Amino acid sequence: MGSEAYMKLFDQILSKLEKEIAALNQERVKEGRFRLSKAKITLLGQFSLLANPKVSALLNIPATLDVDAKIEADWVIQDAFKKILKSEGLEYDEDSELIWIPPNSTFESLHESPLVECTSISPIYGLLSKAIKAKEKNRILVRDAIAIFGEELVNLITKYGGDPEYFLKAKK
Amino acid sequence: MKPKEIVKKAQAQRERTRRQKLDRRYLKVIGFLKAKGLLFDEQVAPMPNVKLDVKDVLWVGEKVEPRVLEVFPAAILHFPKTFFNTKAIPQDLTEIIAAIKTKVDLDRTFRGIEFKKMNHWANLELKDQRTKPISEHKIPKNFRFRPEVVAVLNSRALEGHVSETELIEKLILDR
Repeated sequence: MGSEAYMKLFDQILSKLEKEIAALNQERVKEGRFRLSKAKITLLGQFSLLANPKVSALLNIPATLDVDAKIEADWVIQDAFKKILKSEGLEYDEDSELIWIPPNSTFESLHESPLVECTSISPIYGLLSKAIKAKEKNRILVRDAIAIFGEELVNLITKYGGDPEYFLKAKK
Repeated sequence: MKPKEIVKKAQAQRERTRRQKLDRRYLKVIGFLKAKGLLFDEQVAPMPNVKLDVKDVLWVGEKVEPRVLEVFPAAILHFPKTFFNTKAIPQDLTEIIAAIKTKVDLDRTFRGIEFKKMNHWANLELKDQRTKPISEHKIPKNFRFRPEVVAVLNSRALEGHVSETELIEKLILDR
């Protein structure tokens, strides 16, 4: 049940964004301008884990209300996306651009239409990013993820300069 | 340690986390933060009216879910009456909360969480409309005015159907 409500929420957000882009395009056409290019949104961070029902159910994680996402779109679409997030009680994290996306990361498709493509970083790579760049805050999460993803995640952490044993240490 | 051993230890510890997430302390803390719009969670029922022991909040934040610590300053500043046993707050976290309250910037982290993140949540508009972002909290000031000034202030406030404070704010900001 864990990520059903989240997926419904995100569907609502994308649906609102589609309507907004369609309305913007209609105005632009009336003004003799080109339509907006297709928007590409890539979910990163905690919400990318929630977007995967199987992983979300296994990890059972709360999230703060900030949405980490890489947005490749015209600024009016970026603006619309941030406003829509706010209307749904969420916040766009302006530091999203600083999130490290590991090389060879894979992505899962969440939504595809002529106006918007939305993907989510695969959980193992989202967790790898947290393990390397924000290990203290995510110690428990990454430890639980190692229990689920096994040696594949352990080896990835080692490959990118992390210490997998760090996540097993008990806090004093 | 070999990768296989690391995974085995992680699995044993994960089982402990799973039990901790059934603990009444976890359910109350997450439930409250969810009810106040500070955390998003699908598994735990919202609990808007609980009272929380700070010791329990710290236990959840340090042993189970660090995001609790990220929003704790916001929670205690907006809902101070919810929390008791506040002497259990560690000194460094007390300083962070005081800095947020007095709008001072600190360049430090607490348990790997940046000050600016904790400050951000304290300044967010929450779904509980009775609270305001910390940055909008008013600051009490005490002035001594001559009696005739007080009389004029009172009379102009009444004429304008505003409070004396609102009148003074308008006079200053409209210059």
